[in-house]
Amino acid sequence: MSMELRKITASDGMWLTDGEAYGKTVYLGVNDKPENWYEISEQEYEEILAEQEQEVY
Amino acid sequence: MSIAEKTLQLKQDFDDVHSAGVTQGKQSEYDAFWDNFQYNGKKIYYDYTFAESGNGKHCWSYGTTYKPKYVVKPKTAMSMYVCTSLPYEAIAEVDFSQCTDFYATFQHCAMKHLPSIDLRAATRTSNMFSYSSLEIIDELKVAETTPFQSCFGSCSKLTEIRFNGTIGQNGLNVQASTLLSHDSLMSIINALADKSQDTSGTVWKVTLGATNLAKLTDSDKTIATKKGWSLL
Repeated sequence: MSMELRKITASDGMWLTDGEAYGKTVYLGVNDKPENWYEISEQEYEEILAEQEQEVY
Repeated sequence: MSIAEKTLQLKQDFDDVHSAGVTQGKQSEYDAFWDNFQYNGKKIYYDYTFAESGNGKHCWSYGTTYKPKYVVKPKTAMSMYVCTSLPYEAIAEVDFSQCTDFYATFQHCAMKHLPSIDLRAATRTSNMFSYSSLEIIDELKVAETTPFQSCFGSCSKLTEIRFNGTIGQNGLNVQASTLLSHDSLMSIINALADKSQDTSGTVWKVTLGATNLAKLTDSDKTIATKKGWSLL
């Protein structure tokens, strides 16, 4: 199994997510695949954050 | 007696009640208060127990009004220290080893430095450290079952933290803690469970945030990725 560090990066103005976590860059774990991650816009990201904040409180 | 003098007297009476047992000659009052407050040492539900209003006036003062007679050993600690300003020693005396619910335990409190806290029995830690003045956590004892969803929400001044045990749950997110030291970040990475043989299809991940990721070398990151964790 390769130990090479695999990295995917979001396009400008976008975020990467798997539906649970969010980042501009993802360093993939050995069993993770780029297909598990998709892009959302900055606005979508902000809306999700606001929703999550409501849920926590 | 003038109104001003009466006000002062009222305040003194109030302080006297809350310092019962501390001043010499008040042992019986101290015993009566804490025997009732801690159910003769059997109290286990400490939800909101020492919570304060957040108006800046603190009624719990370590060694005077906050002087538990029995070891504080919560089963639940939801919002237990909300808005308090107790010192390190007060929390160091608490036995969290049986505690399952840490929801908002230290939310909005003023403590900059927290001692070792045992999270091995935890089933909920959301908002546990949801306050911005926290700078150091000596140690978090964790088990593979310890959850971390929304645990470190607004810890923007956190510089040092050490994990003792195994991190085995998704949800750990320290991206707001951009001042974390390299040793703190490595403490997280080194504590990650080995998920490399996991065939469940779960995407295991830790959110460190761009600022923290930039502090790590490729070989640091590889320690996490080869254990099956993705880093964001």
